[in-house]
Amino acid sequence: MTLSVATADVLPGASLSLLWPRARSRLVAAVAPSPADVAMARYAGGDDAAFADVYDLLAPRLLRYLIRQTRNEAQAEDLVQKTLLRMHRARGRFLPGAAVLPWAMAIARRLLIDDLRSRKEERQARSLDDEPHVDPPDRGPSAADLVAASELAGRIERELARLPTAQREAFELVKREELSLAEAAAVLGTTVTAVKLRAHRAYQALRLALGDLAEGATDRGPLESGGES
Amino acid sequence: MSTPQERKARVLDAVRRVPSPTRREVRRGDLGILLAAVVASLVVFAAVGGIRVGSRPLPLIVGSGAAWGAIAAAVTALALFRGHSMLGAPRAWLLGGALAIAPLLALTWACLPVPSGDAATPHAFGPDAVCFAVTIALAAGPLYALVRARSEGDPVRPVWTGAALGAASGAWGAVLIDLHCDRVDVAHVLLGHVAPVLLLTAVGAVWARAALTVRDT
Repeated sequence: MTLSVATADVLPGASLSLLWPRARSRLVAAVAPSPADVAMARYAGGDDAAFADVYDLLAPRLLRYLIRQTRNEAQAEDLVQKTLLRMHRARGRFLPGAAVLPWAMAIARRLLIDDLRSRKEERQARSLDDEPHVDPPDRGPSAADLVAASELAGRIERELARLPTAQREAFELVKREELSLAEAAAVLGTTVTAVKLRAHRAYQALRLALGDLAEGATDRGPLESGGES
Repeated sequence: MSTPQERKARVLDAVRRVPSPTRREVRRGDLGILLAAVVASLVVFAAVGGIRVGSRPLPLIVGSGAAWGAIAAAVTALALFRGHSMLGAPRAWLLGGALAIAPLLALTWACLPVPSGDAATPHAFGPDAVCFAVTIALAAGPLYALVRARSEGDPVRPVWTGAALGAASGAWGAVLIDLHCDRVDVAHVLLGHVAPVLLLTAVGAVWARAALTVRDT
């Protein structure tokens, strides 16, 4: 996750109406196969070398998603490895023309749920005092920017963690992982309407919780544009 | 903490050590098992006596066979359909396929021109149990083939997919037992021919929980 995504996605001043046109455009874009889809199709067809491409294209996104879910980098790395191995094992069942990212996300989510269950963590215990994970920005912001960004990202993460799981998952898949509404619905095993509703409620809850940042955000312009990747 | 390069090398090494079948190999294997399952069902069907007309009018045999066959084909297509998604059919479809088939079979039977009087024919428990068991035997092969064809292929809703696959195989078993059994009383048809579909739906759901999902085993 980059700081810019984290801040731009949940800044209270942002227009809610921006969410759905973007989702719609992603839905249209999803019709064309992504490089990961093409690589996975090649791998399913027997091109063993294509798995390295699949790894390069999917592993970083999976890791980012799982770190946010687990707050534990080692656990997330382990789950990414398991997810990719499951995809390798099931490669012969990959449909030509199918989107690989929602499939990978669904597998990762399933493995995560199993992992949490096996650790007897039905709900992830996230203390408000926990140190949030923050990806380093790509460009070199000042120390003050870094501190402010870290505080902001930490607060956003804490507010996200306080949301109901269903809302948080919908929000993260749609807004952060940029899955289409249909893809997110498929990953979560629910309807597009339900995903819309959950993401909307999450967005509203974040707006409410981070309301005091609305004015501050204008003073911290560099944070919003910094760290773009 | 390992570096990204180390993580990638580890995964690629694991992939090299445990080869997996390609799409073509999977399709070939699935087709072979499906053919074997069909043959196994037909062998069981022939072993129990094949088609028996008995006192049934021909339109009833043809009508019930065609109607139930159409239902079985529809639910099979529905259970296996994935479109261009790796995440399975929509939940509503699977729910419909899993839960509506047995009532639909019963309703179809009720709409057929069954000879009057037979509905009141008393029957012992025996014939119902025999038809129940034969229906299960006829459907077992197709259920195995269908579940295998979707193995590790449903990370989102494996239970409902399995239930739909169970209902589909049960419906094919019901088609065959209906061709074989010449009893036409409603109670027997419900207990011996339709009730196994419910059991197979449940078996499919339980089995799929282990076979279709992508679990950390």
